[in-house]
Amino acid sequence: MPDPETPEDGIDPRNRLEALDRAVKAALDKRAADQAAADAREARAKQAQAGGAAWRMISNLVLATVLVAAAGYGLDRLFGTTPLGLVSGVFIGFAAGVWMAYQASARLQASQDPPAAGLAPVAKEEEGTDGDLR
Amino acid sequence: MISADTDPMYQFKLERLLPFELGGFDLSFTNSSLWMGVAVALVAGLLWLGTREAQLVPGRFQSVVELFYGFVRNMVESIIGHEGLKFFPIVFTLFAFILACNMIGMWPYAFTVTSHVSVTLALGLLVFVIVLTVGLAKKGPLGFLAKFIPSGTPVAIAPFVFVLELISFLIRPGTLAVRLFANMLAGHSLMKVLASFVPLGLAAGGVGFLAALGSILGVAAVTALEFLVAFLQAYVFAILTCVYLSEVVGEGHH
Repeated sequence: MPDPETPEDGIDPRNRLEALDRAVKAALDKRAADQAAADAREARAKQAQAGGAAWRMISNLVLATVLVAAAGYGLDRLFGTTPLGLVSGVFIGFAAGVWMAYQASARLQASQDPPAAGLAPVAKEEEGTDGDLR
Repeated sequence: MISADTDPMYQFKLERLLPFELGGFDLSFTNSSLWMGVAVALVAGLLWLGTREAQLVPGRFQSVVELFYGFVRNMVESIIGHEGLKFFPIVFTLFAFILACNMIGMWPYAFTVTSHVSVTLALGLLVFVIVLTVGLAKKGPLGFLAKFIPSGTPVAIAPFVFVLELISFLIRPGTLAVRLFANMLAGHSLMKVLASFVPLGLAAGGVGFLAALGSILGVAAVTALEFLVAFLQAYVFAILTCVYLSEVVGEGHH
């Protein structure tokens, strides 16, 4: 055990508390900065994910319309019912695309809503008080 | 002015390397087949190198392989759940093959296998048949059809919902195929078109030099974007395969 009266690091014992305070403050600041950076990363990832989902919905909408219309056109060619198949294909395909987008957005909301509705902010506050130990 | 050097679609041209015909079907070994083989060899080679002398502390290749394996395994497990791990081999194979094909396609003068709808549609149909088979085996024909009416649907609109669900199920191989092939086709032609502006601008001189400079910057940016797209499209294909499998494997959470 080192003698408390003779500090090894050369810091005046009276300044020691301040030095410790500064060190703790620096560490806390760094932690907050890290946390903020992580939050920003997470937000960006979430945004990218939502963007990807939105992009998929739109491409699904277009693809469903085009593919079902093409199938209708194929049926037209087979049975000589031009333009019934193509026209109904466009409408049915568009309806299917909207339905897929609706389902996708419902799933997305189900996966994102519960944490966003109040659980996350509470958890953040608790973390904040925890970091206030001096 | 349009030649092999500037025609943006020339890079997608199929060439018969070993002509072969069987019963009226053209089964020639094409440049597409060749590059598919290269993709398979690349993936197999990487996996072989990484697992040849497995060590507790992994070397370079082993690290890559473990990362790759862990990435796909996490994806499968998080989407389908633990019992989905029996589908890990097919998801890993699809992801590795598509990723390898897309990345090889970024190499100058290489052929982009996934830019052809016949290839991507075959992959999409493979996924479709697997999902269909698993669904029918797990739930039986009636149980499988019942999946197309989400629980809690009012009786009055159930027939419409059934038709829409059925259609959105049936067009899946198409959406999988078109998404992948259209992305690769569009990106690669865009790169080529932008690149062909460079010699045109230089030949024009004057303000053309500026256009050439801008095109070079544009090509650089689009190339970077295309690397992202190459990965992302392989990832999306694998993710959607997992999602489709999870619908027939997991208990109905509609």
